[in-house]
Amino acid sequence: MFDVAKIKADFPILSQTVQGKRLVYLDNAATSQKPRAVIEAITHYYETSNANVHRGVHSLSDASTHAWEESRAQIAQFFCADPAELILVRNSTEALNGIAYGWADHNLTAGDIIITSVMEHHADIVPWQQVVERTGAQLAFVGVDAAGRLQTTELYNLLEKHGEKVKLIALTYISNALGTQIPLTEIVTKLHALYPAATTRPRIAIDGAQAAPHIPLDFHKLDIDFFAFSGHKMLGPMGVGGLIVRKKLLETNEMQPWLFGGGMIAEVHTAGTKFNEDIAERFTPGTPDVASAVGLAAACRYLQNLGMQNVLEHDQQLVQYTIAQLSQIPQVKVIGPISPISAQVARQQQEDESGETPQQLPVSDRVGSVSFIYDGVHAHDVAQVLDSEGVAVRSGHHCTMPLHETFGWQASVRVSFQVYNTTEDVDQLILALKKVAQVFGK
Amino acid sequence: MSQDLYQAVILEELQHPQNKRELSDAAVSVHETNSSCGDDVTVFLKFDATGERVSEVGWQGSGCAISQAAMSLLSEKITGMLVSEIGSLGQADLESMLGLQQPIAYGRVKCLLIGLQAVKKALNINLI
Ligand SMILES: Cc1ncc(COP(=O)(O)O)c(C=O)c1O
Repeated sequence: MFDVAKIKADFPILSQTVQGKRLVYLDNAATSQKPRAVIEAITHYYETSNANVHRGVHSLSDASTHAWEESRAQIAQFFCADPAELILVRNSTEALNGIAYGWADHNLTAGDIIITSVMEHHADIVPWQQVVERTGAQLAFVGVDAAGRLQTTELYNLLEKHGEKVKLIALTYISNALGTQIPLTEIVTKLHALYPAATTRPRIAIDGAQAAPHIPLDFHKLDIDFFAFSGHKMLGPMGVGGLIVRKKLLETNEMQPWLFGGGMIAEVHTAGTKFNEDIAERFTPGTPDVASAVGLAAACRYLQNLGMQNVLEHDQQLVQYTIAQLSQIPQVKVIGPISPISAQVARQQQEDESGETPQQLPVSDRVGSVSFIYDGVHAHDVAQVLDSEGVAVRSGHHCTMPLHETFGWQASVRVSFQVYNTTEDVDQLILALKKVAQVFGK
Repeated sequence: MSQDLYQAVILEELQHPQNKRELSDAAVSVHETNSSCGDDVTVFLKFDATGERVSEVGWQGSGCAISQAAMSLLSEKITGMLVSEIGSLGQADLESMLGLQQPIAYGRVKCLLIGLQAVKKALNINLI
């Protein structure tokens, strides 16, 4: 079962106090905390197996190579991907840049179109703006509706209008600013209908930075071309993340390496170089961060032991509870989809009718976080007062300036969750918010 | 730090900002933004006959309490000051003007400094 008290005890950092108060960490969308299992896996690697990989014939090098390959396999399995499809990089930002350099630069020319949305993290906008500068392609933005949901009709209209000129669709699965989960399956189905031939179908790149920590994922079932994620947001260490690429794109060389040097080659001659036949190695130039990969594999195991469906349901309880609590504070305006409330109502109705608690909590299209604006007090000031009560939240534009500009928000406050958060954490947040009113008289 | 960050000084400045007005006949004006939080200020300066002393300061802006309170206090502080003296003002001066006992958190440094940055930019423009 999902025992939050037990889970919390796995995270050493959470036992500390901040400003003399119990630490309530609600900035998980920025980075999550790490369980002891992850910290110990990294230490264990350095204490027992550290050596360079693939380079030596000695025993330690062999142990290190094992650790590397096993970790890659574990991480790939977490996403139901083939290890050969997994390129380990530093984070989502590097993964998305990898698509730009390794795929877009080779496949786009003047007149081609990349579609993204105004809700994207800067990491899913700036690399495309750079591609546009390098290739002469164009960038089109899909908007969001008043509730912060992707305007899919706008997307489909763009596809119908531009047809085969659209080469790439780059979207975030779950918004880091609003928690909006996009209807990815519907979008992929629509793509197949609009472009029956796979060769002319736009490639679809998903920024999965906020999806990987919260929802069960199956890369093959999603039927997408690229998936980017950050290990540090899913209980793993900083410094490692991944880009999962549809195997066909790798096998046909549609996707090419974008960093060059040792490890990724088969032969190097003064006259030229042949790249490594092994796909995974072709995309691993130089000495990889083995320890972080080992740590991320441990994080994947930890999450898998909890069960990602349970992780999601726990998140949904917190999201719904938080929206319900925040909605009672008159100065607070929750931004983004608030359908989780209707999901909660639906659940209550089901319960009332049958007299039993339904087995599964309805999953809403808001995952991982709840953001809000406090009337008359700047988000930074709200966050600072919350900090004085031990509550860590994020304030600012969360690297989504186009989204904030669209709505005319100067900044917002974001509360984001992980497996160790409880409704008591949310209660401490709500109590701390009362202090904002005291301090600013608003 | 945040425990006592919002002291009487800051709250007073917020409620009664000093010199918060546009100077239509300013010798120079500079608009500065802090992209990390959307703070923005515009500073208007006038100089005395020698051109070496700030004779009047006005400003407009919106943003967090720190940025607005610091700008308000700064506007009063630099009125009548020599340009050369203003050049040597820094983070520590602003911290003490706001009555902070400890250095401000990293995340708030830009908020604290935005007004001073606008003033310094305005002065460079004037000096050229
Ligand atoms: C949706 C989204 N995309 C991309 C990123 C960038 O992640 P990283 O900073 O780990 O590269 C983030 C992290 O804030 C994010 O939330």
